[in-house]
Formats: sequence, structure tokens, C-alpha cells
Amino acid sequence: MPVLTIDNRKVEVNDGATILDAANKLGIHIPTMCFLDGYEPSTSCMVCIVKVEGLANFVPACATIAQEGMIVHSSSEQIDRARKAALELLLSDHLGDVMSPVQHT
Amino acid sequence: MDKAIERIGTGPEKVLELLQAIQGHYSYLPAEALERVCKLTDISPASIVGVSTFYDQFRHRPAGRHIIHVCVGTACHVKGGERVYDAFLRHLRIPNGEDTDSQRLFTVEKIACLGCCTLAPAVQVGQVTYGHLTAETVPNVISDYLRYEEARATHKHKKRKQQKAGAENFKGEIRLGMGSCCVARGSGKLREALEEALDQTGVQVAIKRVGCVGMCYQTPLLELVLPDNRTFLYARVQPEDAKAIITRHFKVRGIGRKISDSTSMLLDRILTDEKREPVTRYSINVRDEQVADFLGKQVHIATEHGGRIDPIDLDEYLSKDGFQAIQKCVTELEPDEIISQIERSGLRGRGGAGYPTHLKWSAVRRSKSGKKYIVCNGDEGDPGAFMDRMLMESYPYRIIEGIAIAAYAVGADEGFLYIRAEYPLAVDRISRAIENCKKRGFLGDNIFQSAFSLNLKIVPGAGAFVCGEETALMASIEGRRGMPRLRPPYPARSGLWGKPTLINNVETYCVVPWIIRNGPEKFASLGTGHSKGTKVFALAGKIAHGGLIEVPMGITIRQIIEDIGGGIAGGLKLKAVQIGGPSGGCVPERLAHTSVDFETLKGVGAMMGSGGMVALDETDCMVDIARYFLRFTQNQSCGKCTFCRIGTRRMLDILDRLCTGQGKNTDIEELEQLAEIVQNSSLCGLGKTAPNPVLSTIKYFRDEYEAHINKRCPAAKCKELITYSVTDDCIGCTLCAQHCPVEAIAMVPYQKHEIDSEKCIRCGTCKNICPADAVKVE
Repeated sequence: MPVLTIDNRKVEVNDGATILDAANKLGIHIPTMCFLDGYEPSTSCMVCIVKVEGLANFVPACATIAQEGMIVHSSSEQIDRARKAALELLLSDHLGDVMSPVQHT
Repeated sequence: MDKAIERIGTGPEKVLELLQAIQGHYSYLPAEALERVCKLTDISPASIVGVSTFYDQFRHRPAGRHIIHVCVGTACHVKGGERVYDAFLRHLRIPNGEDTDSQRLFTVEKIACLGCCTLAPAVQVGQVTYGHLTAETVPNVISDYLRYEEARATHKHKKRKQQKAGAENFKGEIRLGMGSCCVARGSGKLREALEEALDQTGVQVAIKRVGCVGMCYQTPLLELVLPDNRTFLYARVQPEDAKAIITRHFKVRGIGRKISDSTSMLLDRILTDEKREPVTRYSINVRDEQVADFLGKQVHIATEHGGRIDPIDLDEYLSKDGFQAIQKCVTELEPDEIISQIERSGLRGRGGAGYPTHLKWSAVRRSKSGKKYIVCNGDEGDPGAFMDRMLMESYPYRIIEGIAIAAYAVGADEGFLYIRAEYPLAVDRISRAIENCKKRGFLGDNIFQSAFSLNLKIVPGAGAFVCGEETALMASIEGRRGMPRLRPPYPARSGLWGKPTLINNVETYCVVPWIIRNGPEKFASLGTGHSKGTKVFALAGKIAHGGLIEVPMGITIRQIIEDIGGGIAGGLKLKAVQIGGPSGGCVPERLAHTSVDFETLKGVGAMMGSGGMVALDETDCMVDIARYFLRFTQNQSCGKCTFCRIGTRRMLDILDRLCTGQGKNTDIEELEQLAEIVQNSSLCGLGKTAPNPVLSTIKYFRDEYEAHINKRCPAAKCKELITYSVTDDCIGCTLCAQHCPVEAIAMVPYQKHEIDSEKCIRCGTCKNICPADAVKVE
């Protein structure tokens, strides 16, 4: 049962739990898009990225397994900027290529 | 179809192999064939569509009878590969958006890299490789290939009857380089000519196929060894020289004697003919003189015995201490002792990132599992790199021995060699070597009468760069789309089919036997503080003497370029060296004193990568180079994560704008911001390193980016930013008008010619052909 720290708060989770699971347990909100509970994480949208101390790159919280002693930051100016960039990039590839919901009815 | 399925199998992991068999037969994937596969095997329609659309190798449209693969690797790109591609389309009158001519004879496709970088620009037509092409020589390639096909169809290849005489009857031997590059430059034809000459003269001497000598700029290369062990090296030998060479060195009975005398003189003239190579003279003592520069600074560990041993002659490998290291390991050393030796040697992974090899090995060793796998990563996807191809073609047994040692050390008993599909010769040699090892008990059960067993299998790749990434590679072996996944868990814990898996690069395995035989300290005595031993580099681009080299770590870039490579070809100046392919960066000339080791290269914004080194000269545009690499990574991105899929796309949009004169003032900053985000947040190594070529060129050549914003290309490379014009030096010879493929130059003899900028496609033909150097580009 690893104990990790997210935003200066300690939490103990089951073996194999992800950072996202740990954050949920603490009530810390990490945004997700492509994640769906019960399915293998697809690590595609990348809006759930967080900073883990000691790792050079941001990692997706939905798929990163919590490790003993991990220190995680769920939000910072840099993280927010990258999340925004992910959304903007998704939108930049999404111009009028989807039918609006109204047309489906 | 049904036979192929019977032969290959019906498991879901067979999908790649089945698709390759279908494509091999029909030269594309007919929908009916795919349906048949789904009916007869456990492969689902979703899997077959997913896999067949993921890998570049597969086509879903019918192809022409012959496929022309135009290489657009880095070396080919800087030497005009795109122009050659355009020239093929023009010559075959293939309409825009199509790839096959109207008679369905030829299909023209771009290929990421043929790995024949010293022949750049290169194309492969069917099984034949042509090198050093220009837009003007394209028609010759087509006609030559058609002639070749015709000749092949009319009379079957005649095989020389191998004389039954034992080796002791042969006086000396003739060593002929038979790597892919050598074959492309005619060593196959030379071999035939030599055999014919031997038949005619009755000289009994063995012709031995040897692996790569590394001096690719001199191919075909022939080395003659006399019974007294004197050696003679002949460079760039033509088939018509074959007889002369033989009669010069060997006693010819009867009539041949006369030929000997006259041809000997002719030969002297050929070999010292300065017209062939004005700078370096090819004398018979070539080995002692100018070759010394090329070989002098090299240290051969992975390439030990280069050019002297027959790649698939197992006995010869054994006579050169082959399989002694594995024998020592299996019979004398504990696995932990082997790992400790690897640790003391300081060996780091040669695949690019430089992760300490012993850490990987001990992680796999510690993983508790009844089943462990070992994988050799031979998916050398970097355009501009061909080290692994050469190693696999030239030293298959050494690689197998290295894999076996590693397998014994970590406790694996089953392994795969994942080899690029573009390397048919490597696949062929490795598979023959595996067969021979099995027959002689070096692979299989109870190796050296011990409890250690190992079975190896080849998995040919299908043209996806991302499969060089270890988790993607394993997905591909399992028969899925080659998509990487988040690590950890690392393959050492959960790899192939969830089992602990050791995966190393070809070159890493290749140096292992040497370390065991010579001791780790000897390996560690080479190199720098944190980068020990040697590194094999593929030296190509604008270099005078391109080839395959192995140098101790810590050598400087300048030593490689100037001392070994003989400087830049054609009297131009070195501008930068691109190291590490799409993950690496450009090191400018002013930093040529940079030491070649993992840390220092990273410090200057480049990366060891797998070891491709492409020299660039003043005529190369750095924005274009950045765009070239980004186009490559963008195209090869697997599309899984947002940053890599769309981030690289947006970066490429900006570079496309810059190169077409539509740049904006904010473009450089925007590129830098996007690059940082893609670098920091992408899921796998491909995305994390994709911005490197852009960032390093911005760092060192910012002025060129600024010039492009101002619609200027200082190196006169970007088509949309340059114009061709004729100066007053024009002598009115009409050569340019005759050769212009789009009739942009009017035929006006004895008058100054003019180029119609509207029609001009900037192919450079007029500039190349002008005898008075009167075509100006600006």
C-alpha cells in the first residue's frame, strides 16, 4: 500500500492505483477527457498531466501507477499552460468536422 | 492464400507476417485477400484494418509491375532526393496525386530511408539499388532497369560451378565487399566478372564475400590476399578490370600469360589514373597511405575483423574466437558475474538514450517469472543512419552471440530480432546465421551441454519509425499497431505478452562478446568519463569520404569530419553536422570541437541517437532541414497523444509557412513555445525528442529563420523563395533549353537564354548542365 503526497497532502492507496485514483481519494480535481473508469487508460488527450518530482516530463495521472514516496503536483502555472495547450491543439484540429448535436435529433 | 496461411499460422500475432506475404505476392493488399485471412484465422477484421493502415509498408491500391522506391532519407534529402522523385513522376508522366503510370508498369513511392546514405540520392527499383542520381539520370535508370529485367527473363542466372578443390589448393583469396552499398555499386556484377575471369585463366583462387569495410565512398572494394599474406587493395573496381587484376597477381597458364603482361600495364594506368579521383590517388599501397587517415582513428570492436571475414561462414567466425565468450559465460561464469562485468565496462545502450546496460540486465534478472524474453532492436528507423544494417549484414554471428550472453545473464530462453523490412539482406543473413547456429548447437536446447537454451526468431518490421521505441516494438511483435504505451512498467517487468523482457539495440549486443573476451577494463579504458568504449557512426551527407566508422567515444566532431571523412566534398565549407537523426540536432561548425559522447552532445542540443551523422555544407538551408525532420516525425507519429499528434503538426505548419514565404514575425516564438510543450508532455521518446532539430537550428541559426520571415532563403534552397536566372556569362549553347523538363527556357542559339520564372520548377537541371556556370540562383 504505497503512500504518496499530492499537493502537500499525504494519501495511502491500494497497490496498482493510479495518481488519478489517489487524487480522487483526496478530493483533488484533475481534469480528464479520454479517461473512462473501468477501461484501460488510453493516455491520448493528455489534459490530466501532472508533475511528479524527479521526472523530467509531465505524466498522465490516469495511467501513472502511484509509487511509495511519490511527490505529485496537480497544478501549477506550467501544468495549466500545457493543459490549455492540449485543449487548444485538439480544437485546432476540430474545425467544423463534427455534426452539431441538433442535427442528430 | 490458403497455403500462405497454412505456412505462417493463424494466431493473432501472425497478422504482420500474413500481410507481408500477401503484399509480397500481389504487391498490394486486395480487399478480398484480407477478407479471406479473417475467415481462416483468429485475426479480426478490426485488427487487420488497424494494422494494415498503421504501417507504411502496406498499400491498399493496386501497384504497377515494378515499384520504384525513392529514398528521401536525410543524406538523400540534402543531395536532392525530392528532385529525383519529381523527375521520376515527370519522366513517367504520372499525373498529380497518382503514383502509377498509365501503363501500370511503374509505381513511384517515397521511402523514409534505404540506409544507403553514402550513395545518396538513392533509389531502389525492384531488387536493384541505384545511387548518385540526378534529375537528368532518371531516364537512364528506367531504361537500365528494363534492360536488366529483360536479361533476367531471357537467360537464367548462370552459376559458376564451385571447384571441389579444398581450401589448401587455393592460392590466396579475393575478398569482395558484399554489403548492400557495395552491391548497389556493382560488386555483384564484379563478382560475376571475377568468376568468369577465373574460369578463363584457370587460376584457382577463392572469391570470398566479406562484410562491410566501411569505406563506402570507395566501393566496390576488392582486396586481394596472396599466399604469402601480402595484400592489395583495389578501390572502385569495374567489372572490366577483373581479368586484369587476376592476371596481374596470379600465374596464368598458357595463353593467359600474354594477356597478363599487356593488361598489367593497363592496370597500372587505371589504378593511378588521376582523372578518376583528382585528390586521392588509388595506388596499390592504398592500405598504407590515404586509407590510413580513414582507418587510423578508428577502433574496431563492434566491427572487429571488418572486411576480412565472410559474414555467414560460421567456421571462420569460430576461428576468430567466435562463440568463445558465450562458452566462457555458460561454462564458467555466474549470471551475476556477467552483469558485473558489463557494469565495470561502463557499457551504455547504443540505441540512442544511453541507458546503462547493466541496470537493464539486472532489472530483468531480478524480475521473477517462469518465462522471460529477449529482444534485439534492429528497427533502425532514423533516416541517415545505417550502422545497424551494416552490423547485421556483416556480423550476424557476433550479434547472435551477444544476444545469447545477455539471454543467459537475465534468464531468457526465447528471443526475437525485430528488423526493418527495408533491410532484406540483413534479414537474409541473420536468418541464415540462426539456421547455422541451430545446426551446430550454438542455439537451441542445452547450449554447450548446459541447462541454458535459447531460440531466436526474426520479426521483419513494416516501415513504422515509432516501432524503434521499445514498447511500440513489442506491440508490433505481438501483432498489434505499433503504438507506444506509458512506462513504467518498463519491459524489464512487463514486456512481451506481459513477461519480463530485455530489449537492447543491435550494436549493444554486438560489443558484448568483445567485452567478455577482452575484459571490461579494456573496454572502459576507451572513451570518456561517462561514455565508455566505441560508437559506430554512419557518416554521410556532404562528406568527401562517407562510410561506416567506429571511433572511441570522446573523439571530436571535427576529427571525424576532417580526418576520417576527408572534409566536405567539392571544396565547400562545413556548415553543421546533423547528429542523431529526427531526435537529434544540428551542431554548427563553430562547435565542431564538441566531444562525441552522450552528455556533451546532449549539452549542445543534439543527441547520440542511433549514430547517424550527416554533414551539411553552405548550400544547405537549416530551416529546410528542421522542416524535413519535423515532416518525418509528424508523419511517423503514431497519433496516440495530443501533443505529438497535433503539436508536431502545428509546428510543421509554421515551418511550411516559413519555407514558402508566408512567415509571420511571431513564428519563431510560437515555434519555441510549442516545442517546449511537445517536449515536456509527450508520451514517448518520439514526441519528446521531435522538437530537437527545430530547437537546435533556432538556437544556432536564428538569422536564417529571420531571413525566411523576410521571404529570403540565404542558402537558396527553398523553392518558393528563389528564382533561377541566366547571367551574361551565357554562351548561348542551348544545353539548358534542351534539358529543361518543363520548357521554361526558349531555344535561342547564340543568344543569351532566359528562364520563364512562371514555368520554372526550380529543379536545378539548367544549373547542373550549364558549361559556363551562367545560371544564378537567388
